[in-house]
Amino acid sequence: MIKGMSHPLVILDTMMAERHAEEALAVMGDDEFRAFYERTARPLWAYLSRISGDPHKADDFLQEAYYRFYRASKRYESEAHRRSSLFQIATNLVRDAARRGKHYEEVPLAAEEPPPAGTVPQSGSPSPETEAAMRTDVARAIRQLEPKQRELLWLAYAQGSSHEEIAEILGLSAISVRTLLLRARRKLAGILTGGAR
Amino acid sequence: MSDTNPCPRHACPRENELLDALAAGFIGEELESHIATCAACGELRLVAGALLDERAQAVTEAAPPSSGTMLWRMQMRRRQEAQSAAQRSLLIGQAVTLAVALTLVFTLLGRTLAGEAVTVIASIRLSPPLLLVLAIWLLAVPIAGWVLIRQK
Repeated sequence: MIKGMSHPLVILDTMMAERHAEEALAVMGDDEFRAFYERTARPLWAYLSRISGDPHKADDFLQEAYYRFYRASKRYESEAHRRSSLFQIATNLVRDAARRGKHYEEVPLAAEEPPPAGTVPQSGSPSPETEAAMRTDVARAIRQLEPKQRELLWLAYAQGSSHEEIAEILGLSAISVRTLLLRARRKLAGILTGGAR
Repeated sequence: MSDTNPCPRHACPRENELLDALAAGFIGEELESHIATCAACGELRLVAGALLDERAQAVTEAAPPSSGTMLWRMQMRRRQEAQSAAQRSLLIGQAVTLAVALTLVFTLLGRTLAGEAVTVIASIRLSPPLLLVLAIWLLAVPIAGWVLIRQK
């Protein structure tokens, strides 16, 4: 067999693929991509880390999500649309990984102790002493939710996405988002207050 | 809105206002008094407030690679994928060329070769089990080769 890279056909094919990549970059240039990455990398990592429940896996998911986004090289109507597409790719990655190897970290409700009194944010600012404990409890409470509920709540309240954007990212209808969000919100509130709703 | 329903079945019309206030980090007195009497807004404040705090924490934890590093990694990976794809197409091309060449050879020299092959085969005296093994081997080798190429 002819050795891969030395063959003119391979070189030609590689050159064509690289040209295609350059054309893709023309859709979104290097500088534009970098700026987009700077704007989205941290929020995306935060999303991936909290919905997967594994900050270490979030690094891999982040890289893969940007690569797939880059490779897709689509034209987008707006920044919001582009952002939604990136989050959609990221969500699907985490879901696929969960299907394959259970990367969603789920904490069974029964095994979970209710958060200590006074550590749940009720109203006003919490005292500095309880802030660290509160954060742990919130993270633990999020992990008790179903994966889709985590995605919904994070996008709606942590990310500030609109119902339409959430629908696009999660592949739901806007009406379902409203209903499911209300249900997820009630569930998280119940966990945070230590009661069953 | 001043309902005091303990179990909020419906969203409150002031929820967006509350979300904006939470994002800004300041809740006015009037909105504060509304929250005290509205179960939906109380619940929203609890949940959205906790999630916003969690997001702030997660964003500080995040240490993504620089945009330059990320772009370089993606370009490298894209190039590797392009090379693999090119090698695959070359392999297919070579297989097709070989098949065409063999067909041509057998078409041009078919009768002569066939006649001689029949004579040679007829002169070979093999027992039926040995012939069966030979036939299986002749069938299995190309299949195994194909499977190996697929795995690579």
